This record gives sequence, structure tokens and C-alpha cells, in this order.
Amino acid sequence: MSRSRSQWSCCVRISLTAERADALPLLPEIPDYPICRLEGYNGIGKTLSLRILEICTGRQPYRTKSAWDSLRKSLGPVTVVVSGLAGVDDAIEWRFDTTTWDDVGDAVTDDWFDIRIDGRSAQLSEVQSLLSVHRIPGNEGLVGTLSGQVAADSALVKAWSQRFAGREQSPLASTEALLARARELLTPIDGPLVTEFRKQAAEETARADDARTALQAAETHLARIEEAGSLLSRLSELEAAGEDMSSALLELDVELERAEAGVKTIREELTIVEQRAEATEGMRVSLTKARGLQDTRLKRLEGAVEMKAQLLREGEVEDVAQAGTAIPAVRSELQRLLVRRAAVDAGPQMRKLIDGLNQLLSSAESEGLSSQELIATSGVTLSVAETRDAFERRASYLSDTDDSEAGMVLARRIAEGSARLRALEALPDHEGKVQRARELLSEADEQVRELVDAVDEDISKKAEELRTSLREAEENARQTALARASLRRRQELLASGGSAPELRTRLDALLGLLELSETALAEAATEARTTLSAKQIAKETADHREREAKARVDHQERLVADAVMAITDDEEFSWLRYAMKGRTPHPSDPPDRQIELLTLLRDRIDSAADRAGRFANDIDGVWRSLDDLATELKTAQVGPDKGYLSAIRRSLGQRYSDYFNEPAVRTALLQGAESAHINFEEMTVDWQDIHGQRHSRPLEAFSSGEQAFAYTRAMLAGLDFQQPVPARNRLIALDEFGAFVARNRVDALVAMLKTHSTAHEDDRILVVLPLSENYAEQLEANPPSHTKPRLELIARQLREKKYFVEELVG
Amino acid sequence: MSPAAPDPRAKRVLELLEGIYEAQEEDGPDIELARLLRRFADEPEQIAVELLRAD
Repeated sequence: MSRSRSQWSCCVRISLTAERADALPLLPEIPDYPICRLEGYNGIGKTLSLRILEICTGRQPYRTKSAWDSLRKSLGPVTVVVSGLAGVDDAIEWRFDTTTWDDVGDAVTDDWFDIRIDGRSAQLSEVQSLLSVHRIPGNEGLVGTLSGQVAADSALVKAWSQRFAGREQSPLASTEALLARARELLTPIDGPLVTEFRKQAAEETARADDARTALQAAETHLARIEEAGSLLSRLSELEAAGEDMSSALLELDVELERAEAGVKTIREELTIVEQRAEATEGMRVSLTKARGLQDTRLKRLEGAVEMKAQLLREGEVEDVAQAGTAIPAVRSELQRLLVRRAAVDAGPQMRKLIDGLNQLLSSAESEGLSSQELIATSGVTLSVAETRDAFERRASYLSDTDDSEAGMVLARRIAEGSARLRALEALPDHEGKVQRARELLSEADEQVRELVDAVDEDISKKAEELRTSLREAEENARQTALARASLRRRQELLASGGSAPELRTRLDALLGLLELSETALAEAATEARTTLSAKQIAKETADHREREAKARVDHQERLVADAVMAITDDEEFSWLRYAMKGRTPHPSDPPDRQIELLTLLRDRIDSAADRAGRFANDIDGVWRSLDDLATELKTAQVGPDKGYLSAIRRSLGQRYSDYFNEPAVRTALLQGAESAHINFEEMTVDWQDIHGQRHSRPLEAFSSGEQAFAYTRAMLAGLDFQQPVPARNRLIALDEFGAFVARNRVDALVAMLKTHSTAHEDDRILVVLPLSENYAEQLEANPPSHTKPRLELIARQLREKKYFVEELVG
Repeated sequence: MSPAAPDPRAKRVLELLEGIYEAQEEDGPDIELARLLRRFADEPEQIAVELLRAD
């Protein structure tokens, strides 16, 4: 909406009032003309008032902290009122205290002001739709202006960088922290390493299997050698003493038969004598009972003696005293055999145990528990399925190695050793039973003797003599029987497993299998035991290495599982799941697929983190390069290319070239050039005239008036593009235009402003100048009548306000 | 602190970056990331999502 010039000239007023007496000075009032000239003494607050108005309409004109801090500290509470604006019934009023304003880099906000429009509270955005203020400085050269603008751009980018890409507490820093956390989770995941560990584990398992097989072979080999040694020993003893033993056994048979016959004769004679003693009727019954008891105890003694003979045979000793000596050695040998047997013969029991466990594990798998962790110890973890698989492999191995010859030989020798040990351990107790049976028999004999004596002294005497003879004969028979039993046992022992020819056949077969001679057996046994020890150590080492290799695999797979679980379930990584859209691993995926997806994810995160990291450096490089260009413009010296400097020179050169591409500028300064370009590499303005002639002029060669003219024209042209929707009322202030006016370019300036004003009826233009003439002297020097009223008006305003305002005319 | 109006400074920064990017013969500043940082300034998760998807 446009309004008439009369509205501007009769209605709009601007007043600025600082409350503090020591505050910086402000222009108390700015009257209105379409194109207005404001001229006054230095230090009365012309520029400061314009900048305050810019701030009130949301524009921050200050670029340096020192100037800004000085303003905030030295002004304090201020009231600004602008009345007569189109779209405002009465006035816009700002109340603020500059000491409460934010730092120079921060945007102007509602928090800075108490704003009222027509008496009601209002927001800065409403003000911006009604009024905008634009100050165009004329005291800066084009080069200085460009330098200042580039420096402002640098500050802008730097502030933006700190806000959005700062190292701490910025969107970029927060993003990098998220990526770093996810990367931390995936750092331990190393697909090639897992593959290598699996390969190593397979190799170590193969080596461990080889070591176990080698140990089994060494045990079998030693067992064969020991069996051969045993056969050779028995065969040698049997061949050496076999015939003498048989002859002695025959003699003992005859002697035993004779002793038993003598016992029978004496017992029959004693029976006759004792029957005579039974003649006494009263004693008969008692004597019969006593004899019954005597027979019973005699049979018990005989049984005990027979058992003792059997235990001596089984214990492979000749008397009880030898048994006590033999027990420790037999027990030690048996323990050694059991240890060896445990190593080679646990297969069936282990298979039975594993079969039972695997049935339970299979049931668990069918219920969906395959991937559940079952075992976790010392860094090793196994799922239900992995545990069942490990058991099956172990059962298979045990099946392959269970039926070993060594195992059978050891079993037989353990059975023999166990039987011998039992016999030896039973002998001392049994000897006590024999003695007790002997004592009980003596008691029975005494009872019978007393009964018989009671009947007839002669008969009793005879019976006593017979009993003595009987005991002696019985003892003789028992000793003979024991001797025979011992000899027989020895003979059986020598010939156990067969006769001498049979033992020889078995020995020869073993020696053939071992490819050894009899004489080499002892040395071979020593060597085999040494080999067995070495194989046992090798097997333990291989087992250890296999466990370690599997633990490494398990550890890696656990890391993968942990990462997958976290990515799948943790709320912390929900953004990651959302970003990858189904390409994150799931616990139900096969391990290799999980690793593949985790590796893909890690690569993506690395790429994103690298991009984010580069950005912080890049954006810093941008504002540093802008700083460098500002310095180059300020010093008129082009430095070496670095960072983005070259690109910035080209980019901003193109942007600022527009200043010179306004037709009015090209006509006034560049001889009507068709196109102009600022070349920051050379610090020149290059253009081509209407005849096609190329020209180049250093930026510094333009006079300040020329520069101001070009800059002002460009700025006026650019105002329409500075905001998406221009404010309804605009105040454009050309500040510090003294040099321009002093060079008599005022006509060109007025022409340019009128051209603008014609095209923009809603704009109000204020040209601000330092006091350029001594108006009081001119008035005292009798000026022409047509200039006197103007001079009188100026002189009065200068006396009252130290500045005057009038409409600018050409 | 709430901005009084859409911050023209951010727009100017992006203009500068775009100008540099167009003038740079090799890799220029990451304009897309600059836009993401501005657009999702309070949502770093969304920035991370866009970065991962951009790869």
C-alpha cells in the first residue's frame, strides 16, 4: 500500500529520549521530508540515533564487541517513539535498557524491548512489518566497505559455526557424540578376525585330536610292551621251575594222603575208647552233645584253614606276615592302573552321560531355546545348540577311541590286582578267625575229655593220649595241605592264561606286533614310558590351546551378540534402527550375517563421522578465509592462496560486482560500460565499454565520492531484496556523506535519490552530514534576500538543537 | 531466547557456502550438512539418521 507524500511530511515524527543524564547524546527529534538533509555538529549523536533505530527494527548494525559493549554501558534506559506511520493509528513506542542487551553476536529479540503499538503490547515481528530502517554509510570507501562486509560475513560464519558446529554443545557435537557412541559399540567387531579365530580354532581342534590319538597309541604301545614283559617273566619262571614244582606237588599229595589216613586211624581208635567211656549211662547224653560240638568246631576250623589257604593263594603270599608287606605295593600298582584306565576307559560312561544330556538339550531346542546362553564361565559362553553340538563331537570322538586294546588289558590287570588286594587285606582278620576256631575246638576237646575221664580213669588216660596224637596228626595234615595249596597256587600263577607253549605263542605274537626281541623289551618299556609322558604333555598342551582358541572365538561371538542385542533392543539406538530401515542385524540372524551387517553399519557410521568431522574444519576454514580476504582488501595486498580463499575471491567478486552493474553506476563511473566485474585476485574493477574496449581500474583508484555513489546506488537497489516482505514504511539514512557533498556531486546524488523516491513512494530518505559551512557568518554578511530566510531558519535550529533539517534539493 | 523472525544470518551463511561451493573446483564445504544442522538443530538423532542414509 502506498500513501501520499503529504502523509510523510505532515505526520511522521521520530523522537529518542535517554533517561540517564550521563548517557550518550541522541538526536531528540527527526522531522520528516521525502528527501531530507540533516546537518549538525560532530558528537551530537547522529549516527548513534540511526543505529538505535536500526536495532529497534530488528537489525544489528554493530560488528565489533568493543563498540557494542561501549554502547550498552553508556546509554542505559531509552524511549523511542515513532508516530504517523502508515498502518499505525498513533505511534510505535520502544522502552529498553541497553545494559540488559545480549552480546554483539546474538540476534535482536523481543527480550530486548518493551514494545507498544498504539498502546498495546506488541512483538518485534509486528514492528518489522510496519517499519524498517536502513543506514548507508558514506564515509567508508568502497574498499573499506567491502572489507567491512567481508569481515562481517566472517563474523557471521564464525558465530554460525559456534552455534551449529561448535566443539561442545552444538547440533554437530551432539550428532558426533551419537555416532561415536554407536561406533564405540561396534569397535570390537572385526569380521576378518572372527574368521581367522575360527580357522585357528579348527586347526587347534585338529591338533588336539591328533595329540589325543597319539596319546592313545602310546598307551596301547606301552600296554603291549608291559603285557609282553609280564608274559616273558611268567614264562621264564614257569620253564625254570615248572618240573620241580610238579614233582614236589606229587610228593605233597602223597604226604597229605598219608597224614589224613593217620588222622582217620587215630580218630577211629579214639572213638572206640570214648564209646567205652560212654558206658556210664549218666554221662552218655552229655558226652554225645560234647562230641557234636567237637565235630562242629572241628569243621569250622577246617573251613577257616581252607579259606586261609585260598586267601594266601589269591594274595600270592606264603604267610600272613608277607601279606602286610605286600599290601602297599599292590595298592600303589592298582592305583596307577586305575589312573591309566580312567584316561582310556571313560568312554562308555561318558557316552552314556552325553547321550542323556543330549536328549535333554534336543528337547530344549525343539522348544525354541537353541540360541539361549547355557554355559558361561571364564570368558567362554555356549548356547544350548552349541553345547549339544560340542557334546556330539565329543561322543563321536569317544566312540572312535573306546575299544582300545590297552583298555582291555588294563581292565584285566585291574581286576586281578583288586582281587589280590582284597585277599591280602582279608588275611589278618581271617588269621584271627582261624585262631578263634582253634581255641573253640580245644575247649570242645577238653569238655569231651572231662566227660570221658569221669567214666574211667584208664580209658580217660588212653583217650587223652589219642587226642594228643590226633591233634598232632591233624596239625601235620593241615600244614601239609597248606604247603600243597601254596605250591599249587604258585604253579597256577606261573601258568596263568595257559600253559608254557600257550604263553610262548602269545608272547611271540606280541613281540611280532611290537617288532621287538625279548632282550629289547626292557629298554623299549623305558622308552615307551618316556614317550607316553611326552604325549601326555603334548595332549594337555593341545587341549589348552584348543580351549584358548575356542574361547577367543566365543569372545568375539559374544561381542557380536552383545552389539546385536544393543542395536535391537536399546532405546539409545532407536535412531540407528530407523536410519538403517531393516538393515540392522537381529539376534535370530546367522552369526556370519550379523557380522556382515555390523560391518556395513560400522562403515556407514565411520563415513558419517568422517563427514561430520570434516565439516567442523571446513566451516572454520570458511570464516578464516573470509578474514584473510577482509585483510587483503584492507591492506590492498593479495596474499597466497590457502583454504577457501581463492573460491571466496571468485564467489564474492561475482556478488559485489552487482554494485557496479547498476545502469546509473556504469554510466557515472564506467563510461557506460556494458558489464563490470570486481576482480579480487587483482583488486580491480574490470569492465568493457560500448565499443568493446576492455578496461581495468584498481579499486583504490576510485575517489571516495565515486565509491560512495556506486555503493549507495547498489544499496538502494538492493533494499527491496533484503527481506522477504518489505516493511510498509522504510527510513533510509545516508550517513556521513560529507565527502560526497563536498565534491559537488550533490546534484548527481539528488538525481539518484529522486529517481529512487519516484519508484518507491513509501521510502523516506535522510541524508546526514556534518556541519559543512559557517551559516552564522553567512547570515551576518548580509546574504541575498532570497537566501536569508533559509539561513535564519538554519541558525535558529543550530542554536536550539545543534543540528538543522531541511528538504534536500538539487 | 526466541528469534523475532526467521534468522537472515543463517540464510546468508548458506548463501556464502553455496557461492564457495560453486566457485570451488574441488570439494567445497558440505552444504547439505549445513542445511541439516540448521533444519534439525534440536534433533541430533535426525541429523545422524540423514548422514547414515546419505552414504
